[in-house]
Amino acid sequence: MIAPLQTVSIQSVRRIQKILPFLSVLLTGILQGAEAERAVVKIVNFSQAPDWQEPWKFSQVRPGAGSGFVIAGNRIMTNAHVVSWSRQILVFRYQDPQPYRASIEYIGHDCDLAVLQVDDPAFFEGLTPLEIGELPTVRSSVTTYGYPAGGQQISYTSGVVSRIEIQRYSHIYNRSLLTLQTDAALNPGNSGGPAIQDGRVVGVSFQGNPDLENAGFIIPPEVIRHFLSDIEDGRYHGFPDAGINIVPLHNPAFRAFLKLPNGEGARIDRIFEPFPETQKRIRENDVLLEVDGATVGSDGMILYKGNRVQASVLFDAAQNGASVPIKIWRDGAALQIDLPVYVNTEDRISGSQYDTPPPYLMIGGLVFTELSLDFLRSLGRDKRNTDAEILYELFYRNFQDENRSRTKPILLATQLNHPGNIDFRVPLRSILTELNGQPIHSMQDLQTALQNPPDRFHHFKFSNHRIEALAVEDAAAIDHELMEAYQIPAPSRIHD
Amino acid sequence: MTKHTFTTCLLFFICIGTQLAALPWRSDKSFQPEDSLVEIELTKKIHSYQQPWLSHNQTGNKNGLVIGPNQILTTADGLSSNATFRIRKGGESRRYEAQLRSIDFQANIALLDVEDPEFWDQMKPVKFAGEIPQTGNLQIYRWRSGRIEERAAEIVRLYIGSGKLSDLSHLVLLASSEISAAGWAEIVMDGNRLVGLTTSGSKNKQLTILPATFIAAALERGPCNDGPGHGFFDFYWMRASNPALLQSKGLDPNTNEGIVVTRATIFEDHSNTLRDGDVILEIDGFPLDKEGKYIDPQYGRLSLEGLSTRRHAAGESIPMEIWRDQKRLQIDYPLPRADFNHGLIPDRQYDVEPRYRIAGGLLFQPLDGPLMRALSKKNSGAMEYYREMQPDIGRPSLVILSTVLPDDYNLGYENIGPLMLDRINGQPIHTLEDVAHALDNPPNGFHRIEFMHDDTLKHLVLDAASLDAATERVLRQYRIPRAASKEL
Repeated sequence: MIAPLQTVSIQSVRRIQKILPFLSVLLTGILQGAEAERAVVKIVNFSQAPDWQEPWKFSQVRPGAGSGFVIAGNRIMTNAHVVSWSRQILVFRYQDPQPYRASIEYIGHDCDLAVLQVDDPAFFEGLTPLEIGELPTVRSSVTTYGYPAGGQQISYTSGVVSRIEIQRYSHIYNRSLLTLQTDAALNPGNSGGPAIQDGRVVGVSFQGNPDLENAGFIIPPEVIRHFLSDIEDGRYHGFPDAGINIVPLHNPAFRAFLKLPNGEGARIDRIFEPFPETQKRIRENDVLLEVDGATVGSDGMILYKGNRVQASVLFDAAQNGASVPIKIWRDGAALQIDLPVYVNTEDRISGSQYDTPPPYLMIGGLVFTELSLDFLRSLGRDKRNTDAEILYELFYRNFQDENRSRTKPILLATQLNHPGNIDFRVPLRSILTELNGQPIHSMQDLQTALQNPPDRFHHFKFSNHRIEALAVEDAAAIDHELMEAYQIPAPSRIHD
Repeated sequence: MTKHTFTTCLLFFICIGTQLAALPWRSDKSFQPEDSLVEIELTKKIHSYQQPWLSHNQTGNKNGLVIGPNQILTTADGLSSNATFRIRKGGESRRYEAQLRSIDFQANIALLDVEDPEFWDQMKPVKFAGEIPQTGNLQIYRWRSGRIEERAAEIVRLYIGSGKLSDLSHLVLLASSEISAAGWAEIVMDGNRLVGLTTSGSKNKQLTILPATFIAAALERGPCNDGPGHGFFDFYWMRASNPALLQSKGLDPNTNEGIVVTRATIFEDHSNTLRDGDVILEIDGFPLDKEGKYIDPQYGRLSLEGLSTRRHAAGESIPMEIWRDQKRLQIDYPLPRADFNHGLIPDRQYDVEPRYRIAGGLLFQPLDGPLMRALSKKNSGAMEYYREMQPDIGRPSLVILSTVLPDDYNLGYENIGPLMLDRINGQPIHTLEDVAHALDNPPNGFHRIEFMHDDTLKHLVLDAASLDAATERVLRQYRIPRAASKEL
């Protein structure tokens, strides 16, 4: 109940005087927030994702909505997943029904960020770009802005920063970066919207976790700045990796075995493939003592701006090709090493892929494509569709060696039936190991082997030991007929 | 014939037909089930694979059939050599102690005996059918609450299938029946002849039946009579239905014969007989069609796998005609013995206690199907791949660190496992015996344990001097009776 002003007591005035400084901060935030909301935009993306099992096709056009905000340079920042596979992007200003055409200027799928440009410069008139702030502290309040589902107007939610740690970025799936967790309600449509503290952007809303209550996740300023810095040279490279698996080193016997003098340092258990520069400099069972001057605890964590975070956060902070100074312990002595870090482009099949539709090659109605996480997901949740070999090839093959980690398994995605191939008896999703006697490790291998049949037949061999053959002359004729029948634009799509 | 006479005759035949239908199907008064059918009560130990030192009791009932002097036939399903058996006959409440004389898990049959001569009074052995009927109706019998339950069954079909407890290929009879909760060796009769024992029932009212002809052959050649064992075809094949494939091998594309060998060696080396890509045209004198079927003189068109158990025992050679390098060849295929220990990760284990060794709180176990089923979602993708594909990785078997029982000694390793072992102290690990031997030889005062390259962790190190004391402490703390399974 609102009390009339004249009835306000002396005690009440004193209480107000005590809390005035806090009210002042709050009011400043509200006023800045009022400005901020003008820079928050609604994004509508009409997208068309490829069909991973019939890779010459695309899905029907799907509209999706998200949020974004204006940053310096007449750009809109949003999540990569808001604008992925776009055919057309429309952006809407605060309380303005006018749609504006936008396009992707840069997109970083590993960090789930993108910047858009708008064709019409009038879009930015009267808008003040938001500034990127600093990493907020745990327990501090943030306000999220966005256009979540359930209404047309901008929505605000407030919460505290619950924790700061490395989390998997679900848009790409096989990358983990620094993340803010908040109890502010984040819903579909909030994606790409800013989290604001003291008038500055301290994060971009990007994902939730249905297994947790009151938990939304925000991309922190460190990741945003890394992305913006990366694109300064006109190209997005991505977040680099050191290629090492850091595991806790708590066991006293293991520490004694490694002759460690104190309780610090975590062990490097494995060097991933393909990281040739790391292979040259690092050995298994080296102990990571420091990364870029920060002491690594026996749990593999460092103290990062007041938070205990995995040491890998400092490798993530470097740009592709940069060197990160590290101190390691090897053979009873400390060593200082400059470790170059690179973006791993060879593990793309174990993560979600975007921008480039899947490669394929058709031979007599048999459509081959790369094995990928996207292909696996396209099979649905049916466990019968995910045999152990496919999972092994996707997630364990990189452990083998450098050559193996660079290969890309090829599988039979689809068989378009035709009288000429109807008796070809190989189950779908079989992995092709040989064509015409040539080992197949990539689409390029497949394309080359296809040109060199040993006789008048193409000879196929699969990892499940199935063997088959198709007459070379028949295969070409079959493809010609099927392309007509199924409106297939080309017999192959192979990327460089 | 007048209309009236015709109607009278029709009514007469309908009445007779109704009376006949009311009788038990093909009931044969010469067979009295209570003279031969017995009820078996068994109590056995069920082992825990996650805590392999633990077990509990389980009691169940199934059926048995007198087939000869001191011979009660039942299925091996649910039995083990350490079980105790009691048998009731004739619906009496008295139970007779019984002993397991022999058990054949591959064929899913077992023989029991009762030493008390009184038991055998009035008991009559049942004869086996010489041929399994392919159409018509059969009778199923079992004991229920001291009374014989008789049900009708209609034959659905005969086919070559796998055994319930193994991958042995043999004739299987499928029948349809209203009987509930069957599959526990209920006897299936055709008049007074045993047609088979039920091995499983399903919600769709279908019963699988182990045919008497297979039981007879298995009793002769299997472990029940110290026979050579059962054979199996240790190769994978595919239909030769693609004309282009046949043409590419120099065969007539319109031929209707032969199947293509896709993997000639799965468990044993048969490279001197079969090779990948061979086309098998005949097995044991029976021509194969391109779908892998042959014409059995008794039962018609059946799958070629049935020839592995039809009339040969393990170790015998089966003549084959194959097509290789544009030529017909005659080869003799030595029939391998079906063995539960085949393969990198044996899929099944029966009648064996789970093996383990605990060292410093680390639980080591041989990797097999029952353990993987017990670990379920904890299995790594690499383990699942090895089980499914059985690849040649240069080692005969695998041992895993399945879990860690937390102790100061293994601090920091509490959450690891299951992990596949590669080496301990530099020595390759294939068996639990290897683990014990390697732990006896620690270099430099430490035990260094390495895991397989495609597992999630590669190394760990433990103190060697305090291992035994830590093991003792862990055994006390977790109330574990011994550090290793009995035979170790």
